[in-house]
Amino acid sequence: MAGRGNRAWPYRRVRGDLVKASPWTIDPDTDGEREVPDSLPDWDYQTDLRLRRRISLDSAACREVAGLPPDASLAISVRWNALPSLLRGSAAWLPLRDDSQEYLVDVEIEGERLGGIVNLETMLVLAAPDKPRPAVAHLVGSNLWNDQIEIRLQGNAPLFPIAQVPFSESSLPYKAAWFLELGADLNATALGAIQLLVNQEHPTIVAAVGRASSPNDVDRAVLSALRSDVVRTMLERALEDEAFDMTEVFEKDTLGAVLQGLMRTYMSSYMDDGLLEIRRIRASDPPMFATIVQAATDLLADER
Amino acid sequence: MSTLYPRLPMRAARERFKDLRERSATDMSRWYDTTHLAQYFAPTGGTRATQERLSVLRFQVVETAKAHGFPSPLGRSVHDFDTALARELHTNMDLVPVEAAERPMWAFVALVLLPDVAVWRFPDPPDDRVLATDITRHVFGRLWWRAELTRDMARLDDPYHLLGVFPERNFDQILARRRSIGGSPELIRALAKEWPKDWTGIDETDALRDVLKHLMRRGAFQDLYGLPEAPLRLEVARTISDVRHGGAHSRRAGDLDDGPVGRHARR
Repeated sequence: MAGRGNRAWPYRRVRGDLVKASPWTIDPDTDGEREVPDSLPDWDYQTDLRLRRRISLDSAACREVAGLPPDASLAISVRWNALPSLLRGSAAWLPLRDDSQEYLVDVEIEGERLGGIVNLETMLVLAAPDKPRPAVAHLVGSNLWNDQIEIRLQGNAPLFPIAQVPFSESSLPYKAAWFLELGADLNATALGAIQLLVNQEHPTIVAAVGRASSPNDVDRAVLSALRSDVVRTMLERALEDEAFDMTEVFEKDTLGAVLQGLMRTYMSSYMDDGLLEIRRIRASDPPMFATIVQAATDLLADER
Repeated sequence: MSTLYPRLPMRAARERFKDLRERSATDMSRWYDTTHLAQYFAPTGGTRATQERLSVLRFQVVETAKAHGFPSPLGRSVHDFDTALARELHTNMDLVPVEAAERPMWAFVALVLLPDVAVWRFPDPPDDRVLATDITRHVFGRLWWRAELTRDMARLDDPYHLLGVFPERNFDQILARRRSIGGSPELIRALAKEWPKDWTGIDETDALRDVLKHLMRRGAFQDLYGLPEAPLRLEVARTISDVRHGGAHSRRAGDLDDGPVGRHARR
């Protein structure tokens, strides 16, 4: 955690040893509660950021050190700012009480305001204006102590395009769990041409996708089936398209280039003659093709 | 769930901008589309805008433009048009802030979906007005952000009532400070609510610049972004009053209100 360095303050502040602040934890009161990591690569902006920390301080001692009168009002303030939205705001404002030294600070920030890098700053502040005195804080909100953390939401690795939608409101079979949309143009940008639609009304798949970063045994099996099916659908899409070939030059990040990459990753054992052999298997023996893909994608391998 | 809009990569956007500059206004009315070969979407976070949805958005924006004279020159109703369009984009696009911070998304809206309206609003536009190299200058992006930053959910009957408080050149001063004051909707709303209507005898633009300067200076010591609304509005009102009456030049955070005490006091 970083402080504000050696800034010259126009008033006396509270020494760091008078405020004992625990590390922030994420998803409090859930199975996934843990100390907040520097980075949350699986986060997306439909997920609110729920954090908690405990702060222990003696408000009388803090007032004394800062030169404030015994009746000065203090508060714990938590504020955030985010890149790239450049938004900032208040996440918590907790007035201190004289009868308590222990404070539980709960914060919930709407995911749609975040993204990129979030900076969370905890401060001990003056909660009401006070009478001016030399070298003593008197403006409301005067920063008497602070620390801050930075959390990176989403990593640099590109995520698979995914959206949750209610299938009953679409033309898709309402009992299905997922549907992979694939564009017709191999030269289109992959992130525009591919999208996995997950049925919002299918509790098992919704739960598995939601817990992808810390799956239970059932989630692992569901995600493995999903992964294998997505790969098979994409490989079939490529093999059915006469315009698709491994010798074709597609620009980086196009659908064609992504499909070539998948073909190399999963079908390399069958590609001595380019796509001839694998196209022949797919056409003449579809069940064998499906089983080859199962093996190539390690279907349910984690559960054995 | 929010809506994800197509994003136009910078290279494709520059090519499209080059084409735009070579076209006449008449050509422009037919030179729009709801899709582009190079477009892509955010991988997660919402539902993709369909071509039908994009057509509806285009229709709504064009209708608003027509109500302000489109395709005839815009003339004096620039402020009215911008205010109406800000409200409309913010109400209808179903965008979340993190998506609205994506420059390639605004490049798509200006260069693919609505090039005719973009050029009508800013004839012969410099590149930042359409490419969104700076969202605070973008023909549409800046209006969405203006609505986002001033929206007052305490007034459900008219959450956009603060949109017209600052004329464009003044609001630009706020947007230009998006990395500090301009990123705090609470502070901007407090400023808009406390901003006096009558500035007779004082240059309002200069006054706003001074208020922003003083708030930023105090923000280094004072937690303005974390304050609840009531004390925040009092602080903002006090700063405005200081600037109006010429007192703020001598005040800094930590200085005293009642007399020249302490080494920072200059009164």
